[in-house]
Amino acid sequence: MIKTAFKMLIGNKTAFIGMIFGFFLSILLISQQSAIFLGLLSRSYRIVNTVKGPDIWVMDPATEGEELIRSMPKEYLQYIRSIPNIEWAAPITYILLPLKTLSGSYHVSEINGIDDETLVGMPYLFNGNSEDLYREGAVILDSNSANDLLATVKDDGTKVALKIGDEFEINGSRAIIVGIGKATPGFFPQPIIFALNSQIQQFSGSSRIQFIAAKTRKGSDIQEILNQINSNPKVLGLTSDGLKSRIAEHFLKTGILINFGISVLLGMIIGFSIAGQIFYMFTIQNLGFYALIKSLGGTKTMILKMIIFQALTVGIIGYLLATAATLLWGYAIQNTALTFEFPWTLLLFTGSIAFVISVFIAFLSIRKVFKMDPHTLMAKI
Amino acid sequence: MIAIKCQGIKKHYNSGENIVWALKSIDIEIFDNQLTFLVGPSGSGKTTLMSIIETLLTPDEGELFLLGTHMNTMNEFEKAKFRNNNIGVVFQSLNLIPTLTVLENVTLPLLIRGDDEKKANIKGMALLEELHIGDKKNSPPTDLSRGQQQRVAIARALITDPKILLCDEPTSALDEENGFAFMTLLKKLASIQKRTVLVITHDNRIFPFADRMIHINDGTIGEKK
Repeated sequence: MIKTAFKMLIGNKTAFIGMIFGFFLSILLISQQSAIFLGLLSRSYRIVNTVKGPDIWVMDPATEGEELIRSMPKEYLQYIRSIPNIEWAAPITYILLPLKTLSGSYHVSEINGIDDETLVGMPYLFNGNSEDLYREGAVILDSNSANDLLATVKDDGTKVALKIGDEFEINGSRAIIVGIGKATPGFFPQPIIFALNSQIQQFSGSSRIQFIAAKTRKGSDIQEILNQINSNPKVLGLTSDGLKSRIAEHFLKTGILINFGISVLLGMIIGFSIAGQIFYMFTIQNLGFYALIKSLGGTKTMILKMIIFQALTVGIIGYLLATAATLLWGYAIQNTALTFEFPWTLLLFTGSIAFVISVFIAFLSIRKVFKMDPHTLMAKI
Repeated sequence: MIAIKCQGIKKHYNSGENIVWALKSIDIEIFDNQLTFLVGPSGSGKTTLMSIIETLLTPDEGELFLLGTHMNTMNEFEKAKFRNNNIGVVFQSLNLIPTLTVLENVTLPLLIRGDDEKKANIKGMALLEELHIGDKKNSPPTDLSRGQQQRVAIARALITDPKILLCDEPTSALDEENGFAFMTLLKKLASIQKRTVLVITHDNRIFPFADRMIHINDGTIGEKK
């Protein structure tokens, strides 16, 4: 009977396409907005993703995010290194400093530290060599800053990208580009620069650090290590996921979740209204045929299965099309400043919503079918 | 042998001041091997009585026996199963599903029963061949003439090999030639295949085909022949 249900469904092409379109619009809005939101959220804790290797992060207890960082004395590094089962610990500097290009343009740049000994904090390099970082004034510039933000604008409006060997000033000190790297942009159009912690100390004149990234020994109890770290009230130790959550929670205080939540709600309303209404009309049009199936010996359970199958079919097709469209969108914008993050959990989230809408519209229609009197078949339909 | 037995069947619609008694205590017995006509004017209660016999409608009072089985004691699931196995219906409006092919329409009762699709198709094809519309098996019913559609409807009604065949105004949309051909077929089904065939009609052109006629008027059984 599932085949019969399917043929009934595709037999009415207008309703079939209309229902799929309803689901498509609904899920597209939900998944696309959610992917943008998750992209924004991941930018808030991009420092955790940029620095590869550590499983523990240590910071001042007042630190909650990029916008709320309280620096720590560099000496805390020794305290962390002294804790048993810490394999290595590296200082991570993150500060904002003024930057002036040779053409005279002024920017506030974001400076990210790289550990002098271990090179922890080193970004992926498109061009350049990490050994050059030890040169006087050496910095790595992110590709977006090189190609766009700091590029020299010619008289005809064309931009000339900065390259290795080009120079500019950071906080009044000479800086020379020794590499072009990859960095996740933040919320503001600021140049992103990477340099050795010792070099940053020269730029800023301060030896204070913002984070300590640490790696625990294999097989050790991370929670126990964190307990030891946190026994000192002047520092806060968190796992990488713990720091992501802390920063994300701080970011969510902006109310952005409500804004995107409204978009998701709108998507659901579109799904319920467009797909629901068309499916309801489709069922009403087929009421006579369900009555026929009942009169030929079909049970309520059989009709229930047929209607749920029809609702799920349009739901799944709409869901797949919308997901494909969202992923295509993500692919198209992958090298731009736009945000997009599509984890597998988002597939589950949007799939669940498509399922809820399918079941809702099925039950909305089933009520009508079950209330129908098959005796009406005896009269002319 | 009595195939259909109605005892004191009553049925009303609406309530209070608007109450309408469609059937006012119906007592009839319909036998197998016979082509029985249920005739009467519009609003006389023919369709209500047919629906009760088809077990789609439950009477307010009275008892219904089909093939010796007391239907009042059955639940909806049991009635559905009984209908599928023992009752074939040709509706006035035929109710063929336009999105299914002729063969799929015919085999629908077998698929509802849960039969294998291949076996159902073999049986359906045999019936369509017997009714001379085998070449239309893959056509949508909307591509067929009214006479051919009627044959599809009867093939669907017969596919489960039911002992009782109910037809609601089967000739109302047919010309005389097709109407007579259809009635000849029903006559054969009753006399040769020994089925109980009950036809609702007010088409007096086909009255000569009846083995027996039951008149119903204002919810009561009148003259019997």
